[in-house]
Order: sequence, then C-alpha cells, then structure tokens
Amino acid sequence: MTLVDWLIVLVVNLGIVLYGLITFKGIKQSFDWYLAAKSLPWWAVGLSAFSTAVDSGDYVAITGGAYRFGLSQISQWWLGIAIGWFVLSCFVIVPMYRSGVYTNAEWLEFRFGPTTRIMAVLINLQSRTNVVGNIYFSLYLVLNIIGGLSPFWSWSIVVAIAATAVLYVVTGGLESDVMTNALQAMAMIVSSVVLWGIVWFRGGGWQGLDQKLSAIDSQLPEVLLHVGGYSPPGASPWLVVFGLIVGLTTYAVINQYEAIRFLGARSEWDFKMGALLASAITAFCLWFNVSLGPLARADFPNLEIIDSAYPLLAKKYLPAGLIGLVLAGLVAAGYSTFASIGMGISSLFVRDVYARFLVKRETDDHYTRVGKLSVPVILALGFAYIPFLQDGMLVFYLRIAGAIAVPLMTIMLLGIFTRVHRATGSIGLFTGLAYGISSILGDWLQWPLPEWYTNMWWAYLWNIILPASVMLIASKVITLSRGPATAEEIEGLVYTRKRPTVDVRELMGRRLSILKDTWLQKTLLKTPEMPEFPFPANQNTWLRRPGLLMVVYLIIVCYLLFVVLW
Amino acid sequence: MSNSEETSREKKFEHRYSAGLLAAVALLLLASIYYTFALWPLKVFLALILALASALLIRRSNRL
Repeated sequence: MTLVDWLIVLVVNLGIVLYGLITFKGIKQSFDWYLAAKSLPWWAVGLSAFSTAVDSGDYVAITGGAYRFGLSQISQWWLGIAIGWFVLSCFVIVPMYRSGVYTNAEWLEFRFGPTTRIMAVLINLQSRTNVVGNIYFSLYLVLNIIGGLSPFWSWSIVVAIAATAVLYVVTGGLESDVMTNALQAMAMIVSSVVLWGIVWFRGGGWQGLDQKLSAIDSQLPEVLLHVGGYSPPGASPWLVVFGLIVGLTTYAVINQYEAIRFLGARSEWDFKMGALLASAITAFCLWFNVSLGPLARADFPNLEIIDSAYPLLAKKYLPAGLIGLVLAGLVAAGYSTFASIGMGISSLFVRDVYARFLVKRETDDHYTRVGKLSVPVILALGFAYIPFLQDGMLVFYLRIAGAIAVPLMTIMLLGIFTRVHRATGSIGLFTGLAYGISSILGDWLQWPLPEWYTNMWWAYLWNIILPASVMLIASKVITLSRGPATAEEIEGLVYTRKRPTVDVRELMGRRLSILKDTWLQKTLLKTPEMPEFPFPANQNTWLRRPGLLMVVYLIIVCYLLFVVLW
Repeated sequence: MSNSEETSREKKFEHRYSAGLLAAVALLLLASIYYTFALWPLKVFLALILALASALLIRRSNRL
C-alpha cells in the first residue's frame, strides 16, 4: 500500500471519528446518552442498523463463508435479516417502545421474570463479544495481507481503532453512534461496489466465473453459483437456507445493540421505515460481498484460511488509491460495529445488571458514567475469541448462534405474540439452551448421537420447535390450574395494533414492586410517550404504510432467491 | 443565541465538514494516479462524483 492509500484510510476514518467527537459532546443525562432523547429520524436509524449489522468481520467472513457455501449465503442477507428487522420493527419493538423500557432484556423481566433478563444479557454478551472478536481478527487479516504490516503493527492498529471508537461513543452516546454510523455506511457501500466491480469485470463476469470454477471441479459451479447449491452431509439445501435465514432473523430480533437504535427513534413510523431502508441497503451491499466468495474460489482454489479470500482479492486486483478506498470502507465497518456493540451492551450492563441487582438508588449522572466506563471493558472482551477463529469466523458463529441465540428469539416472539404465562419464559429458554449446548458438545466430542440431533443446521429448526412447544404446553397446564394470564400481567407487554387504552407508564411503574423508588423505575416513568407518526396523523400518503412496502420487498427477494438464483 | 440559530450553525458546520472530507478523498484519489495509471478512468470518475457531492453540500450550507 502506498502513502496515498494510508492517507485515504486516515482521512475517511479519523474524519468521521472527529466529527463524532466535535458534534456530540458533553452528554450527561441518561435519557440522552442511552436513547438519543428519542430523536432519531428514519434514515439515520436505517443506515445505522445496516452499518451495525454489517461489520468488517462480515466483509471478510462472508466472502470466506461464500468461498465454501457459495451463494446460499445471500439468503440470510436478503431475506433472513430483513424478516428479522420487519418482525422487530412492526411487532417486537412496538410494546417495548410504548412501555418506555431502554433495553429488550428489561422488557423480558416484565414479561417473563428476572431469570430471562439475566440470560438475555449473558446471551447478548456472548454473541456480541464473539462478533467483536471476529472484527478484530478480520481487521488483523486485512491490515496484515492488504496493508503488508507486521503482526505487531496490525494488532496495534486494531487496538487503536477500538480505542478511538470508544472515545466518540463515550462523549456522544447513542446519537453520536448512530450519526457516525450513517457516514460510515457510505464508505462501506463504496468499498463493496469498487472491489466487486473490478474483480467481476477483470474475471470475465458470470461466464468467466463459471468456466474457471468448472476447470477446478465440474460440480463447483452447481454448488457455489446457486442459492440451493450447498448441502453438507445430513442436511438438505432447504435446511441450510432455512438455518441461514433463521440465523439472521434471530440476530435482528434479539440483539439489544440493534434494538436500542429503534428505541431511540422519534416515532413508530421512523423505526419501521428505518428497518425497510436497512434491509434494502443490506441486500444491495451484501450481494457484492457474498458473490466475491465464488470469485475468490476461482482465483485461489486451495486456501487454507478461507477468511483470507477477501484480502487476497483486494491485494491482487486493486491499484494504488483504490486499495485505500476499499480498506477505508472495511475500517469504517469495524468502527461502526465497535461503537454500536459498546453502546448496546453497556446499556444492558447498566440497566439490567448494575442498576437492577447491584446499585439501585444512585443519581442519573452516576449511571451514565458507569455506562461510559463499561464501553472499553466490553470491547476488550472480544480478544478472548481470537484463538477459536482460525477455522473460519462464520462457521464458529453459526454453530454457537443456532444453539444459544435462537431459543431467546423463540421466547421473545412467544412473549410478544401470545398470552403465555409469565413462568413459561425460563422453561422455554432453558429447554432450548439444554438442547443447543448438548448438540454442540455431541458434535465437537463425537458423542454417538444421530445426525439430526447434532448437525448445526438442524439446531436452527429444533430450537424454534422445542422451546415454543414446551412453553405452550406449560402455559396450558398453568391455565388449567390457575386460569389464564391476567390483563394486569401482560397489558402493554404484548403486541397490539392499537395503543392500549390503559396508562401503560403507570402500569409499568407499579408492576415490579422490587423496583420501587429506584433509578430504573424513575427513568421508566419519565420516558416520554412518542407519536406513531412524525407528521400529522391525517396526512394521507403511501409512505404512511411501511408494512406494505415491506411486503413488496419480501415478494421481490423471494422471487430472486427461490426462482431466479435457486 | 436562539435555538434555531444554533441548529443552523451546527448544520452549516456539519455540511462544510463533510464537504471538506469528500474533497480531500477526491484529491487523494487523483494523486494516486501518480503511482500507477492502472484504472485511472475509474479513479477520475470516483473523484468527480466525490467532488460533485462536496459542491452540493457547500451549496446547501450556504443556503442555511
């Protein structure tokens, strides 16, 4: 890399960091720091949700994953994450937004009790620090291979990136995180398009790719260039695609670091339109990243570390100047996710652990300070995963997510859509976790268990069916002995299209007696009720119905995935 | 200073700052042609788009 390349990386990324530091500083109130005073417009929510979901680990790991799994990967980014964002914005987040909670784990305690709240924190912590580890490793690979830096300097720069991300989150909170994310999203999109365009045209397009793959193995184009092409032993292509879709649906539904930017929106319409924008941009951008996988396989058929596919392509095809532009986008992707994970997990730590169980009645300023202090600690935990990522970041993540994160999504969805009893949440969650962990151990330790039990793709199906069935049966049994769940227990916590007629804030304030006079209760009661639309309710425009636009999006994507590319 | 004056001043700063960043990247892209002529039309094209976006931001900030 030349001096100009490094300057481009510096100007883009330090420019955005300085923007965050200068523009959003001195935020002291917890409502402003954690929820941006519920002021975020739809375009900021959408761009931020996209750049939070797609990190530099994804650029590198997705290309590495598609090197092995082919275009089947695209199903999760076109459909899985979109379903997740649509379900989140149209249903899951609605009662959370209306009831005034700051975190999804907080809602879980109101709906299912303290055990589920703590488990949600632990699951979020595990999965997000795993992602931070992926980003560290991917940035290291990129700096080492593309930048030609020694391991020492590569790791030093990775640490410097994480440290500077901490700075602007600490000073500006969620607003700084979201607005810098919006700028970083632009750099990421340019980066994806530039690299893909050059590799694609130099490689002879689709026809050239097909010919090169056939020359390596005549079956390879069939496997890599079709959405339904990949099927490992014991799992059909449909099951693989189902697992990939559920994986990212789960991601969007359960993750507090995604949910918090939706909770910070200025109206319900804003977070729904934000979800739509995020889905469209993700679909556009990830097409380029995923299809780089087969292109890399054609160029480098025998890679030992599949995650080096992306940096190797960049190094081979990009001249001076453009390599800096692509690296700038990758670093921006790392920044955006570092900041968002720091912000999201710190809100979980402070509201769901520290203020809930440890220090309950301190000043508002105190809890904001603790939140700021926890950000660097959270990002440092990501380094613990580095030794496990050598076999491919995506494979490790998919294995763990299917076993641990999917049960949490299942209980959240049942909590939102059904009137199951409060006690059933923990039962469902522990059932799913018991199965998930035993399937991982069975797989890794070669226990004599059937394939359908230990295979990672089957885990995505069983971890929906098992917890949901157990919860519904348990709820039926409780109903038979005690009667159905009362309105006092679930009013304002389940999804309803119209706003509840009761005063939800007042109900939330007295629902958990253990929170009496605590900071958690005071901030919950003080959170303002936000409107459904940011414009006059009688303004009749097609934009008033984001749900319809979402359906159109889903129809187009399903046609492309299951007809054109299958 | 009133709230709206402060918001307008902040917006002006944000627009000019972003315009400066875009212009700097455009110049660096053009400078990279000095190292290699490979794909120079693409670099010029990207630099032009960035310069255009930068000019639009400056125009918007002048109207605030």
